[in-house]
Amino acid sequence: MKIGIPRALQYYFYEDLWLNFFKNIDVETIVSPATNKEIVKNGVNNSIDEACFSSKIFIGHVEYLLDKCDMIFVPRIENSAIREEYCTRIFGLCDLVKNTFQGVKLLQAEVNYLYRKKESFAFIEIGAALGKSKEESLEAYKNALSTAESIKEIKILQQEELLNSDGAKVLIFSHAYNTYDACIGKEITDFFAANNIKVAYADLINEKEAQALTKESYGKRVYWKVSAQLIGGIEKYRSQVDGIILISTFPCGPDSIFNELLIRLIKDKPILSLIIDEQDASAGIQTRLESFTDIIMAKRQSGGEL
Amino acid sequence: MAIAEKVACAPQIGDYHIIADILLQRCLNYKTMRCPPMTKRTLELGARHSPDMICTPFKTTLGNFIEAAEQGANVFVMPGVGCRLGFYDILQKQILDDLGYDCEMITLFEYIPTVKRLYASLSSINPDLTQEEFDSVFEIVVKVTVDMDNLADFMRRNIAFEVNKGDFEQCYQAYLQEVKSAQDVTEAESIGEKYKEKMESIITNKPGKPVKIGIIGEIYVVVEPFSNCNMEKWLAEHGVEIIRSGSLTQMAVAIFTVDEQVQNSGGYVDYNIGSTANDAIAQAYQMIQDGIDGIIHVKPASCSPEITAMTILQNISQDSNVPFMYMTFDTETSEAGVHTRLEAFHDMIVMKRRSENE
Repeated sequence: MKIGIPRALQYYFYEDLWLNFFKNIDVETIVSPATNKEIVKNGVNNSIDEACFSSKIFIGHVEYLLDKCDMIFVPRIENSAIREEYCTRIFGLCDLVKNTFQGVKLLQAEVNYLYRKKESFAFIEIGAALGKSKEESLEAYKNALSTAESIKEIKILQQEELLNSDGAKVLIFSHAYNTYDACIGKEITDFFAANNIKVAYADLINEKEAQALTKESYGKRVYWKVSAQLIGGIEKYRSQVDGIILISTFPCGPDSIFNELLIRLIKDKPILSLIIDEQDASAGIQTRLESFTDIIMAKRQSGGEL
Repeated sequence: MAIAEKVACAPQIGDYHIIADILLQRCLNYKTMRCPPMTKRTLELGARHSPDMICTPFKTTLGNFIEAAEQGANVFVMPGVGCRLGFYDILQKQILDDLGYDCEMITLFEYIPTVKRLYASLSSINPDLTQEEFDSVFEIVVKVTVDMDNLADFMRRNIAFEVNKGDFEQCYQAYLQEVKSAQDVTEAESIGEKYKEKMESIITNKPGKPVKIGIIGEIYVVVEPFSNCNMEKWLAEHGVEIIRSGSLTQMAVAIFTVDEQVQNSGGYVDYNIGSTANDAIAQAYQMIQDGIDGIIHVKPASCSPEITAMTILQNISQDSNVPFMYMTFDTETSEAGVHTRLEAFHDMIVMKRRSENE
């Protein structure tokens, strides 16, 4: 039995949890490779043209895995606490994949707090589908969760160290599945690395802390889990960076609200908003990154004034 | 400086301004006004000041508010609830602030719409509003909503076949006009019954098997005629019986019955896919069982739940051999373009029927 995991969307939120869980219950997995042109092409061809670019990439990864594994792991994660939901594209994924590739074998389970379907139950369900006992799955889940949490804690500490060090820094405000995708954010972070600018990520923040900061700045709870976390990250880290980069894929629902709000509300830092779609235009993005770098460097040299 | 008088205004959503009028006039201690009827200018204003990627209702309602603000409105009422709609208020308020309008934004619901929450929002603005007063207004609101949706539903099924052109519309408008001033729920009910009888007695010459076209999709575009380029009017003029899924009544039910919708979708979906998209799928599936000739799926540009639904609807269409047409409306959609597509869809259905009969 081999489980295929698409390297897209939710994978980037749960990478450590999922991979460690399957390792702990001793089930072989195959993760699709970093997004490449072929995957993008297949994703675009198998999607409705109005769908967002990130979900097209997801479909491309599923297509890649179709003949390479026995089942594809597409859990349905709606919310993990009250008023903490994912975007509808993400919780509609299961039905989207089922209707795009008819007859595809999915390993699915639901996480839905409102229906009392906790994350641990979902992993027991997955374990059961793979012939594992309840105790075995629960043990594997708990261990995987603590591994994943400590990995994240280390990343947050490393980021804090980076933010306290000298040199120019930018903060990336983007969903993890865009930030770390080879065809979306990687080109941008690589550019900064090549230009000796340190990169911090708004999603590297403790979730509870982020929710509290977000509620404080907007006066109401932001029920999109990822957006709430990112806004918290901006509030926490923005005083320590020289500029903010917003990366979205076209057309993104949550970003259409919050990117605009951030641009309107943050007046003290330069902001660059990049919207990426399947039209490959890296030359255009390079130009915009170069001019943004010039701005933050000039600002640094003049001591904050431009 | 004198404090400006508070004037409350709700966005234009089809004929539902009647509901907004009843609710706001009777529950708030503010003056209320209707936003100016939507025109091309409303769309242009809305689009100019909105982010590109946002869904179209944000742009149109923002256009409404800007035009209303120009005429003195300074308190804007939005329903809130989930999806992107739940965040319209903070961004629209920010945009209006940046444009220099000194205004207030009222959000009626938060996340899960409940009657309790509605009372809490209204009484936080008008502390004099008692629970009894609110209850009696809310009773009228519910009655009028259900009645007007039923009347409009009956009208859509028959308007294409009226003998005297204009009878239905006239009757419906007269109902809205009269029910607006109903003092209690009994009065609203008797007005509703009177017009139900009137409407049922309108003379029609409906053929045995008229062309039936269903309309499903995102509620705002479905119920807002200006936003869907008067689609229903065109269909009615061309002798089509319209079966529309999508009204305030239906949405109020749909929010709480997602599980049933999943069960009634013929196995095409397993889960809630967001907003009212499950309802669109369940309704389409039901329409096909009831023998529909074609279905039009409408949505505003970039509406993500409905985009997910499209993938599923395409499979339903293929398996059932019922044609579907997918229409996306944004601030640039032209009426002529929409009508051309409707005409082609209508012609295709008529030809399909003819070939099936032979």
